[in-house]
Order: sequence, then C-alpha cells, then structure tokens
Amino acid sequence: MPTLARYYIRTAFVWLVLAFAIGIAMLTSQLWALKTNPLAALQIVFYHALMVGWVTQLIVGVAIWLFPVHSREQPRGNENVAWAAYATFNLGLGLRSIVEPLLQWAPSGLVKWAIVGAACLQVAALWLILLMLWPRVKAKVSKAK
Amino acid sequence: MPKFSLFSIRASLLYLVIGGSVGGIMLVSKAIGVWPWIWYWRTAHIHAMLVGWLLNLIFGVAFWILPRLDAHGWRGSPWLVWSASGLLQAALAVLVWASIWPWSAAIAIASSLECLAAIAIAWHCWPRLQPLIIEPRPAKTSKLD
Ligand code: HEM
Repeated sequence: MPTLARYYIRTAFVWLVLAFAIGIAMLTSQLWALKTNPLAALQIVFYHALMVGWVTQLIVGVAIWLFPVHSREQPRGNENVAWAAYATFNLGLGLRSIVEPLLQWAPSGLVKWAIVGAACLQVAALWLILLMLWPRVKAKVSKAK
Repeated sequence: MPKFSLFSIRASLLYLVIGGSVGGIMLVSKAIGVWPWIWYWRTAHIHAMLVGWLLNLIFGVAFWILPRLDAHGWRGSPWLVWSASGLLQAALAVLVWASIWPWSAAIAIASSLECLAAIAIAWHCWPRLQPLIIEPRPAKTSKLD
C-alpha cells in the first residue's frame, strides 16, 4: 500500500476514534440533566468527524490505493497535490472542530475568522481531491512501473 | 473501468466538491453573518453529500468491481444500473429544487425515487454477490490420447 494511502487511512481511523469520544461525551452529558447542555454544541462536529474525517477520508485513501494508475511514471499522479489535499483536509476539519463549538461557548472576532479560515481549508481540500482523483477515473488501465 | 462507473464516480466527485463548497459558504455565513439565504441550501448540502457523493460512488465502484457473471467478464445488463443512477439523480434534482423553492410533496417524491433506485441497484448486484467460481483447468491431454 502506498505511503500516501496509509496516511489517509490511518488518519481516518484517528477521526473515527475522536468521533466516538465526542459521541460518548454527548450521550453521557445527557445524564447530568442540565437545563441547557453545553455539549449540544458538539453535534455538528460529531457528524463531520464521522462523515468527513472517517468516511470521506477512508474512501479517498482507498481510492488513492486502488483506482487505476495515472501513468507508468506517476502512478498516483502529482503526489504534491495529494499531500496538499491531506494537509488542508485535516487542518481544516481539525480547526473547525475546535472553533465551531467555540462560537457558542465563547464567541469572539478571532473565533469567527478562524471559522472562515477552516471553511476555506476544507473547501480547498475537496477541490484538491477532485484534481488528484479525476484523472484516475478512466477507462484504460496503464500498469505501474 | 466501464462507462457506467466512469459516469457515476465522476458524478460523485462533482457532488463532493459542489456540495462541500455549499457547506463552506454556510460555515462562513454562520461565522460572520453574510449571505443568510445560503441556509435554504442546508438540506441540499446534506443530500448532495449523503446521496450524491456516497451513493453515486458506491454504485460506480460496485458495478466496476463486484465478481463478474461469466468467464468473458460480463457484468450483467447495464440498463438496471443506469436506471438506478437516473432515479438517484432525479431524486437529488427534486431535493435541490425543493430546498431552494420549498415544495411540500418533494420529500415524498424524492424518497420514492431513492427507494426505486435502491431496488434497481440491489437487483443488479444480487446475482453478482457470490463466491468466486474457480473453473477447473482443463486436464492436459497427453500425446498418447
Ligand atoms: C467542505 C466540507 C464541508 C463543510 C464546510 C460542511 C459544512 C456544513 C455546515 C455549515 C452544516 C450546517 C451546520 C449547522 O446546522 O449549523 C453542515 C451540515 C451537515 N453536513 Fe456538512 N460540510 C462539509 C462536508 C460534509 C460531508 C463530506 C458530509 C457527509 C458525507 C456532510 C454531512 C453533513 C450532515 C449530515 C449535516 C447535518 C448535520 C445536522 O443535522 O446536525 N458534510 N455541513
């Protein structure tokens, strides 16, 4: 399995564990019978840790590994694009997971602009993924060297 | 990769970037209060991701990679998968349309279309979900035969 795919898939597992931890915290907090549960602010983080961090990242990792190779010389296309996608994807989601709930707990100008930054990173990551995988969705299979 | 898989996987990648970009705009709107109309697109974001991205990808990869039906590599009649895909795209179109111009029957229509898509893809995949049939090698004929 190529190094790139291993990074994507291992990081996906980290997000799966984080998502479970957030889910457990949210469920346990319901036992406290608080009037307003502060951990309710984590719901969107939970969904995206699961669907973006785990499911989407796992799919992209497996696609990098198993989709038809790009060319004999560059089986996975331009790997710099793939690494840039990996970095923006996880930085964006990680930053968002911290600052999105802060918008409810301790809103400030810094938090707001950090969310804008996280949104830009997340969207950039998806376009980089498109750039990386699109040429590998093809009819003819060329063999890797 | 067969033609249907090319179409379906490319469609799924487009849903990922377009739906994700809508999500990015929502996040910016949430932080700094711009473009409040984007929240009409919240349902469209959710469906573009869960149905457009994940289901299109699953349909495309399943058609490509499930065990073939005979030694010539026959994947089964493609009309069922094309119908499943057509029904899915129609359901998504209805949902996107209704999230912008709310329309009470939309959810019922879209879920019926999705249900028919599920039946069509299951019908296609069912006979292909089987253990690999390993045909015995024809016995070597000796010169004396
Ligand atoms: C660039 C990546 C993404 C961004 C920026 C984004 C952003 C958002 C935002 C702003 C919301 C609304 C949150 C709210 O109501 O306050 C949302 C909801 C949601 N998104 Fe995403 N999203 C992204 C990717 C995805 C992906 C890949 C999936 C699934 C595969 C997904 C699934 C969902 C779901 C299920 C909800 C509804 C959550 C709920 O009802 O509480 N999103 N997203």
